[in-house]
Amino acid sequence: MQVTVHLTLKGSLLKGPLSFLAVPAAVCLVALSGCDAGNDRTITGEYFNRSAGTLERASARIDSLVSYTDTFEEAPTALAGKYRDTSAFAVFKFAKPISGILDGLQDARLRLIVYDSWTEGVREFGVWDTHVNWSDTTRLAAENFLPGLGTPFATLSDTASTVSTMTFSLGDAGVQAIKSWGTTGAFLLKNTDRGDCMVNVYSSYSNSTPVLELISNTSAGLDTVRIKPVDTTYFFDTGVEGSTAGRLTGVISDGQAGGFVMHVSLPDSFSRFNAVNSGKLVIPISRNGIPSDETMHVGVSLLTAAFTTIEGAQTSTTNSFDVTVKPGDASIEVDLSTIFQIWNSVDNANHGLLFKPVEIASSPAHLVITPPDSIAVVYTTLPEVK
Amino acid sequence: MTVFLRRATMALFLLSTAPAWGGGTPYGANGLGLVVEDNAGRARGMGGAGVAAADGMSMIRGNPALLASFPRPVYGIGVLYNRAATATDRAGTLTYARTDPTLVRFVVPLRGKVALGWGIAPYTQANAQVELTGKPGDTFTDTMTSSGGINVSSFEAATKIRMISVGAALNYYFGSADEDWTRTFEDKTLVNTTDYVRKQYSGYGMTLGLLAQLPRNTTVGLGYTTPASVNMSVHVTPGTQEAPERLMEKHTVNVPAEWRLGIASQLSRRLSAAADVSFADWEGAARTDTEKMMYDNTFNFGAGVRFVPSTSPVARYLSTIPLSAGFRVGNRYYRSYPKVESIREAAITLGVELPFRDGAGGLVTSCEVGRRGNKDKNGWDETFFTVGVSLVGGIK
Repeated sequence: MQVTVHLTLKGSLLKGPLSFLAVPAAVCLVALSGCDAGNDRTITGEYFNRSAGTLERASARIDSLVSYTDTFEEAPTALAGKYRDTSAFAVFKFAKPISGILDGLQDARLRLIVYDSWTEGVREFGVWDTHVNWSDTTRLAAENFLPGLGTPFATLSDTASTVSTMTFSLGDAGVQAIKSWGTTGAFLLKNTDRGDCMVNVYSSYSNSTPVLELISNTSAGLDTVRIKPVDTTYFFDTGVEGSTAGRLTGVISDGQAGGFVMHVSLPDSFSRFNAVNSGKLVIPISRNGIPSDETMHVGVSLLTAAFTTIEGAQTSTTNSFDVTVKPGDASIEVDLSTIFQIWNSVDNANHGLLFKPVEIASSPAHLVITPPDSIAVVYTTLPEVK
Repeated sequence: MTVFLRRATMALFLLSTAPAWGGGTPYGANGLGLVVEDNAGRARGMGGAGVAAADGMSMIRGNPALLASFPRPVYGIGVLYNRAATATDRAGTLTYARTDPTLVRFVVPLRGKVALGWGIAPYTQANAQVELTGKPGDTFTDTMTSSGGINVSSFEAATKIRMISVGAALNYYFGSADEDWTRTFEDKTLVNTTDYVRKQYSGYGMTLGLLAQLPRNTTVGLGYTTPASVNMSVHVTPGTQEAPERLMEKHTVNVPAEWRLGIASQLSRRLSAAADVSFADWEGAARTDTEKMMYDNTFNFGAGVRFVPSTSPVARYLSTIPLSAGFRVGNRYYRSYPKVESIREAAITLGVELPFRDGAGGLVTSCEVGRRGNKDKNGWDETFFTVGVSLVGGIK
């Protein structure tokens, strides 16, 4: 239906009928003309009869600290050796070679490519025979491997400042051990009693995998067969007594892939309508185990669901921090203002904070922390609304 | 002539679409905000007097009986440009300006001298940015920015019985006023926060109106708006917009009973006059102690004349443009702070109408210059200037 709207002025400005659409168009024009508050000029507040919220202080309480360690399934590198208070050993599992190779086996060499190394003394490593009855979950049970280890098949001492490759000639003892394998066999790498060095070698889950070279006398003559391990894991000890058991003492360890979940709570009387302006968590580091000239990256994340395992941990991407810690640092600082605001505003949002090493299995770096009992929180109360 | 009109219309268009340059007065964010005057259309140029003007060009919601004077379906829209310069004890002058829509309205006369109408208009507006004064030694600054207010949507019906028209309107008060309270620290280690406060309004009221035709081309109009309880729910988003909004409280605010009485007379073919007096019982609407202290009953009086240079059908267009002049005096509903005193207001008004062909409405412009407040009494005074543009169009 076409409705004629007479917008025509008596003069000659606008003549003729106008579609009824002019009405909604005019309404839109009016609506658009002044709905924006725009750049309102500030007026002085002394004539305004309401006041802003007051600036107050409160203490958030650190309720608990639960430590965890990760498994190393398919870790691309493995630690072995000794550095300061830390120690580690790596184990490599191989499938038994075919009988044609085993029958004429003359010599064997284990070649490992080094990713990084740390030392304050002698660089000496050895390779031992070990059992294959292990899985990643047994890695903390060093007593299953180290007692009665016996004599190493081979040792390697390197005085070079950097170590890039380690090749162990396993000798007759190694050859005999390989011949006695069942379906699989394993070698253990660690420092010797004299050695005071830690290395990080590529594992079977990397592109620079360890290689077991088997020199065998076959009908065609001497032949060298190279086989790769089917599994690798390592065992790392920070040397911190009771590191996983102490309440309010936590360990963050690259090598152990260990961290902790910290539960912090605001006072019950803290109003839901408060705005948090500051909540800085300063955690003293009671032992800084970061090697010289290195840094450690600690990830601090807001947990968005209850923590069960590190693999299943659900964290906020927007409320995560990467804290860089240097060897001489005595504390970690994390600004929790935004996280406190979320915990205070959102129902059932407080599942704690996850502290974890960002780089897993990369170094012996670790931190032992003892958080304070409380965190000072600065907040603004709700403005006067009336 | 054509060039003049074209330029004038362009100027009005630009004025109506001007960006907001500022907003707020020393009292604009207090209480429910500024009450928007109910004087759109022709009335604004005549000192706000229009409750008895039965010409269909004063779009006053305060008297629904006026609907019966609309001879054809009509739509009306209006905008108001508001500019004010406030002087305080401090050096300098605070100036603000903004343009707001003031009205959208439709009227449909039915058979049997019954007319129905609907309109929407702002009742209060709270557009301000306030820099709050802290305690000595505070290392932060607080700023409050407010916008929005209460609107009123009116469904109206009117009928004419001989010389008397009666009307009634159901008023729905709704809208929200949003406040952003921002705290900014000098110390950068502290996080600046903003509390978002949203006050949402919802409530009903009524307006009854009467329009009586008296001898000698005189009409008398009366409007009564009932007091209304408006539900207000306060929602808060504390600290950051990422936080969820929470309902803080619910209560009611009252809008006052209002009486408006007016008289209009066609003194001659070319000259007419009108006068209105209104009273709003704000003190009766006060609910809290603060409101009881700050609310002030309002009395407003406005009067004006309208002159048409020529009513001859063969006159040039310029000679047929009606001109209006008037004045109004009164007081605001919210007393000044911290000096709790009544705020007086007075203004002179001018109006120019550009009528459409066949009398089917027109473009009604008005200009108002006035003063409110008193520096000694209220701590500030303000000179204000408004330009209103209303479009009243008939639909055949």
